[in-house]
Amino acid sequence: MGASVGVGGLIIGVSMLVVFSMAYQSIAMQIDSGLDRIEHAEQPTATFRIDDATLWEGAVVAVTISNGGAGYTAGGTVVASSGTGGFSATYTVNGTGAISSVVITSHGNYSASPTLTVTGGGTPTTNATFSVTLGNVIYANFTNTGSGAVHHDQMWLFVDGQNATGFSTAYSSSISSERWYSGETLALQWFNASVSGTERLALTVGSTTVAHILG
Amino acid sequence: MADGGASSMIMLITALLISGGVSAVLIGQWSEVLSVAQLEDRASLGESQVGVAIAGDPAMVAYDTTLNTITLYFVNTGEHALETSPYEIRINGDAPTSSSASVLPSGTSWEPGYLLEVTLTNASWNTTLSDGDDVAVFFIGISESVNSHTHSVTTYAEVRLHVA
Repeated sequence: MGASVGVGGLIIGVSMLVVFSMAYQSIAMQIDSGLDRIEHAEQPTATFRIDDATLWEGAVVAVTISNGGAGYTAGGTVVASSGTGGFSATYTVNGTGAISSVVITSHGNYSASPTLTVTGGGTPTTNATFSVTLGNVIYANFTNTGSGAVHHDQMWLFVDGQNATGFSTAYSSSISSERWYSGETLALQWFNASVSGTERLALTVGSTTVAHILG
Repeated sequence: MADGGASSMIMLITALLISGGVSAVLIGQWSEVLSVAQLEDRASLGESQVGVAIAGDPAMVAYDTTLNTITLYFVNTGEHALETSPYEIRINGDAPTSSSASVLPSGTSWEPGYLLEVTLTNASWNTTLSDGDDVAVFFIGISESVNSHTHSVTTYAEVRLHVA
């Protein structure tokens, strides 16, 4: 009698262990699966807008110093004395007061190459002269209206549906960050000789594409 | 009494052995069932981690009426690389007679976030398609192996042709 009870108890006990073991494995698998799905949960779809986009086909993209002149002092500005395109630049001078480098601060937009002069740079004994190169620049502002950050490597620019260009190759920033955070606006200055006569700018991020007519 | 104790012990040990054996078989089988279920679950998870979408301006898809070519861009929207070949594309249901593809920005592996630039050619398009036409684009490709499974990726879009 006692042995039978013992055997019965043993069988029941082993059966319960088996059931517990199977239940444990099932729960462990479900937890693994759940964690996998959480880990690989889809990123939110990127949403953004192009605030504005403008193509300037007569921007001053380069300034060459033909003659640095003499007697200049620092602190002046290089401006265009012809045309109304809005060019301006800063410069540095060497020991003789000759202009040794020019840094463009506003590229402007001209139908013909403007003449550049220096203002506010002291009283030169010899005037500096410059030659300019006109080119195409696309100015655009993009705002991330989504909830997630987007890496610049995931962003692609198109002009008229062609010339797919990685955003990071066209965009330069004063900071090293390569992420486009929620609510952030990126200001693009894209110097691209091949965009003359184009009509639309498009930005693709993941499965989202937004286009804007070039003003 | 001693005989009764011995027989009880024999029954006990026999029951223990049988229970243990059955338990081992049951747990082993159950483990296999769970392994298969886990494999299928991971395959299903992998399928949700691959994707493709058409990229670029859908209102200005380049159409060259001289060469009879249409150039399309597709972006890998998933988390795993996709194969650059084979793939199938249909324009209004028609297959191109030839196509070429290259990965942007560079390389041969179509990584997540990368573009596949595809140039399709079909001489009959110059009689059926013209500037400004809306056409239906269907793409189907495959992923590289994800957890030992390969998944298909598809995308469909209507785009407008643009002759530069």
